[in-house]
Amino acid sequence: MNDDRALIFGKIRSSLNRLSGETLQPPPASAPPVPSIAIEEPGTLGDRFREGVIKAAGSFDQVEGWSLVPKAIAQFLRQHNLAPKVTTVPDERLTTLDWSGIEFNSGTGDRQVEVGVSIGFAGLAETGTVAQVSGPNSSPLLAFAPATNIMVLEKEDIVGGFEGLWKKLRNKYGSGAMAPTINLVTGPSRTGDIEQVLYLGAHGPIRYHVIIVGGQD
Amino acid sequence: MNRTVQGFPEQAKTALKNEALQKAMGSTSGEFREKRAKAVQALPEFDELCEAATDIKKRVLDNLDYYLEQFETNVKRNGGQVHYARDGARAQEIVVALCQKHEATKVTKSKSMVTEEIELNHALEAVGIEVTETDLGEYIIQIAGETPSHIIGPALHMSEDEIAELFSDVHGTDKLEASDDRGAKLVREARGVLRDKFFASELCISGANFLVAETGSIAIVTNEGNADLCRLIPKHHIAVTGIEKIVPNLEDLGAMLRVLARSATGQAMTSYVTLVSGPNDLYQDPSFHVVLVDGKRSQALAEETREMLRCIRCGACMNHCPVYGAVGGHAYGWVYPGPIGAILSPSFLGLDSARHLPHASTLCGACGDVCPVRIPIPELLRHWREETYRQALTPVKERTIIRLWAWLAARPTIYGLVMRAGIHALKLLSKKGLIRRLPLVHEWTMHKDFPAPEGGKFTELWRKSEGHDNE
Ligand code: SF4
Repeated sequence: MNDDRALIFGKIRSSLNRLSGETLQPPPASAPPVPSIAIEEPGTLGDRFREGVIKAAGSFDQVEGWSLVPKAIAQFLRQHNLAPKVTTVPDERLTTLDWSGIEFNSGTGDRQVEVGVSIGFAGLAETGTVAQVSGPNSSPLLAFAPATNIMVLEKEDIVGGFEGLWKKLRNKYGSGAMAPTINLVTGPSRTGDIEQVLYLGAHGPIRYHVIIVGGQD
Repeated sequence: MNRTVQGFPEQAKTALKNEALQKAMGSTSGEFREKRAKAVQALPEFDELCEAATDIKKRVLDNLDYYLEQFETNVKRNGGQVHYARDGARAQEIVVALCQKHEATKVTKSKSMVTEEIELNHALEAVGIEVTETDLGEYIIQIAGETPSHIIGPALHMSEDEIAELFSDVHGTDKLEASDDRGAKLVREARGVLRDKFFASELCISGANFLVAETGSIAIVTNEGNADLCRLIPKHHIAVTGIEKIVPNLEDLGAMLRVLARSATGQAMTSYVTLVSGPNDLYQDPSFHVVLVDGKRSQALAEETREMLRCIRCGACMNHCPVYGAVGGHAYGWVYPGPIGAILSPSFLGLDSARHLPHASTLCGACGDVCPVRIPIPELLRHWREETYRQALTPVKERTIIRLWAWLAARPTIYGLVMRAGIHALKLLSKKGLIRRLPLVHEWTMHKDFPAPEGGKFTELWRKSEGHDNE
């Protein structure tokens, strides 16, 4: 196998006409353009994000503070005729709330969970995407296995687009480092594999609902 | 059916006569084209981003050794392992050995063209490992014993009815009768079957759309979320991909994702984009492996078709290709169909076997126009055509005709005489200005009539036309 490494690198170097013993210099980094849909314009982020969620066949709600999240979830479940039973990620921002009226669990999620509640690391105004990172207080599985994926996102965590997300990731993990799994979720699971007709809920969630914490902007 | 790249002419003929396929192909490409056009229009910076994406990939290819080393170092730092495979056989060995090491007998897979290229499923099944494709389209063709016909819609050659039939056979259920919601029911049925597979899985095999050198991450893009269920449920993850999939950093990844989603499915963003950097932290002692396959890529780097290595497998070139639209993906005989397949196959499999493919093009140029990484596809097709002639791989009849033509074209007087005779002969063959059957090249007139020449030779008409009398 190591032979294969040497062989492949040898071939690449000869194809690139490298001199023997040449030390490689880091190539200059490029700066791809940032499209206008991704710019950081504070006053417009909320609106752009919410519009993106709707375009991605999702729905949203907005509440003043964390304490109002369970009520907003209960209301959403009622609207969709879903049993008042949720599993949230093991994050204190959710686990310490008053969940009366809802059967509440926290954990990493399994096959039985019907409604998973996760916390977003960032929201992308560009596309209505919620990025989620794995870690001790998180479980990306909860955004994929259940039929209903509810993402709770702090208003302050909404950024313009990819560039804002990369910046937040670098701030949290340090340059070049990352969480083991980072999921960028934009809408429910969908497929067009049968005659190109769009069906939602191919595998994972049939519903994508975002609750923004932090009052109207 | 066993199709090969050599068999293209026959396979294309069969495809043209296959009514079900023709019906399926009729709508497919058009839908893709429309969605792409809308998405592109909605993003004013699309062209600029394509230029940037092209530059990024050029820089990657120019510095592939540097970026691969950087990627490898960072995967290791994140607790993962990188394995190199010179060809498909070696990649199979590596993956089989890893599955055995992790005692995995049940494996779930998310869509990956490279694993199709290296025929990984056969190798795993041969040692008793159960592999389940989890992308709906891939699952359908897996249980049908087929190969993909399109790189982003692997089962688009099949109709809903054929799928209903297939599910009933394989799942042992009654065949669903045609109804408005039959498609939805089929999706639900597959969802149920695949849920069992996901939760029983001991190891995930995925592809990777991009490898980010800066962070040692792989990026996987899906609309179904199947790659994530594959990744998150079992402890072990093996990603298999080509060495050319590198992008230098996260900013570059952003640019690539923006052009990929729009070019492929016409979305601003694919539903699920996942960055995997290291083993699954939901478990104790998990593992994460990246298998990087060469399979002639390092060699292609020195060849004239090197630009094909920029391809991000969006499928736009096939969706815009009139030939692909007529014969479908299977006719091409290998995993990569359409215009890009006609360039990759000669390079990866050898020009002598794949020499028909570069001719399967009208050179209309649509593929090159829509390619988000600006691969000059028509030019590269022409390059392979020239090579085919140069390497004397073309049949004697064809070579003789070309040589004769070249000889004539260099002798204007004789050329003029022959042309005049030709025009005369064609006029004699015609009825009411149309020729029903052309001698020697009767394929031309199989589906349409050939117009008889009016007037004389072009040079004569030119001379006679206004203002050129004295030239
Ligand atoms: S060649 Fe270009 S258009 Fe065709 S699949 Fe590759 S990237 Fe897309």
